[in-house]
Amino acid sequence: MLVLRDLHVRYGAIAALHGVSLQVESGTVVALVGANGAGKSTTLNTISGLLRPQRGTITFDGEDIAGWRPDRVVSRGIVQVPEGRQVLGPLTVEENLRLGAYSRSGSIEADLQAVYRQFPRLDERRQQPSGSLSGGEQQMLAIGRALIARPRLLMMDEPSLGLAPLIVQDVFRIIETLKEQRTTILLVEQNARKALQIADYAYVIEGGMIVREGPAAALRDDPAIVEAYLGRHRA
Amino acid sequence: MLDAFVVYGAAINFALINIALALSISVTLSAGLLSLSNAGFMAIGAYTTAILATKTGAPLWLSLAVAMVAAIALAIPLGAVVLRLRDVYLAIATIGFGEIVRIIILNGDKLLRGASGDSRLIVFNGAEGITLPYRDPGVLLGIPDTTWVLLAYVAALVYFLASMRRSRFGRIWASIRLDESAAATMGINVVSYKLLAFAIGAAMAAGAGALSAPIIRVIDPNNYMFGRAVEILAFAILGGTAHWSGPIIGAAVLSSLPETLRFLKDQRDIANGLIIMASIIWLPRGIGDPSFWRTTVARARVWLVSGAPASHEPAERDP
Repeated sequence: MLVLRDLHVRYGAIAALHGVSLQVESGTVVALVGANGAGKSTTLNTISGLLRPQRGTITFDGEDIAGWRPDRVVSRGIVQVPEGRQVLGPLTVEENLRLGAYSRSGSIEADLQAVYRQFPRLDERRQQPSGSLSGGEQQMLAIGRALIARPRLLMMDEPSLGLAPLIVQDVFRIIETLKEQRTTILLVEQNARKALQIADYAYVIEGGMIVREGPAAALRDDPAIVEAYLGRHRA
Repeated sequence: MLDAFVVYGAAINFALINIALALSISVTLSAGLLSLSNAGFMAIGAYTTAILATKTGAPLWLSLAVAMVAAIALAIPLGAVVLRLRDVYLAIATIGFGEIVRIIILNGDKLLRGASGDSRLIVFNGAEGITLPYRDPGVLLGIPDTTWVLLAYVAALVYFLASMRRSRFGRIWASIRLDESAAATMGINVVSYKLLAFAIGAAMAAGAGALSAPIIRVIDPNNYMFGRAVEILAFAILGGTAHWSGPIIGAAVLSSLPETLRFLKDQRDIANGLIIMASIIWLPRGIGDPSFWRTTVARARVWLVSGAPASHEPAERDP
């Protein structure tokens, strides 16, 4: 469904990605894990069109979308849940959700109700400024806002970032539900343990390059990965 | 009623023109664009009326339409270039546009006429400007028709802006203002919507300029310099842009200050500046900020009921 080939991205003089290649199959959850500054967010922002690749291709359903404007990428069905949630604070919960449906035509009321059913907390807070929500609620709103666009590929950038452990559980439960609904997800996470538990397939990125890949279950048991990213519980 | 217009008619008309200009800049501000091009577009509007009226005798409604269409036609290619810039850089570029307009008006005739010396080709009349013939305003219900026209224009702008704000356009502009990348990742074509706000603001400013010409009567390029662009911004900043009433209040207050502060004579501009500074420090969201008035009214009510100065808590909890 989504194929990245030899993607190179620079921020001015600094090279952030040195030839990243990865693949996301329809109906699967793919995790991209790595340390701070490894290039995880850069990869997502390049797919979504916020950054332009210097070299390489991004193919979505056979079409090369590298370098497209973000709104055109969204119109093809690739929707990003941005890092740090990025809800529009002064706007109400409902206004945020309606903006999420911007790229769609036709009535959105049914989808709005579906989001409220999935996230009852948002239903209670419909007319509240989204900036007054807690971090976890804002993350739900950011996810709801992406879902209302009916994404064919959902990209999540660090959905657990800065949330309390209990809320992180909630967020991963939502991702689990989305997985059961066969939503295609590209998940970027620093919380590698959680990400590898939920994903079907995973890539490990380091210094702007993919250094390992494989079925998530295999990476979870790989001693080198455990050592570098998961840490070991010592007896 | 008519007596009041004999004394204050000009001041009221100027205030209405300023209100229309303040509303025009509130459109670009609502999309997060700090554009100072409104004085330039106002000049285009004023000269459209002045030239059409003196050369062809066209009626005011026609020059209003021509001015607004011309402003949109100019704003789109200009915006496509300058809207790539942000914040203060956009402000600088749009100030540049205003200066270009002024310099073209000042020197345009020399370029047009060239060596021919044909007086029919004198369009802008350089620094001397164009003087419109005096016309006795008709009076309707004790109010001069020039004022009626401006009132109708302001009412039309308010209606248009209020319905825009409530529509998806208002939400989209707010999302661009609050977080451009988040807006883009929601699938919003940021460039097009910025351009739309820029063109609407330009048309509104040009319309205000077109209607101002018969009132100012002497149209010359020095009316539309940098100071005018900043003044328009000050209206919107003082009033606040959270609600359409903000720019109206800001423009009305700043337009009436020269009259109400007349007793200060030479110190008038100092007082003017102090009032703007004070409102920015204590009322950063503008004197027209609805939430400020809501809490103030709530506090006043508590104070009246209890007969004692209210502490912050009861007023804040009051729903």
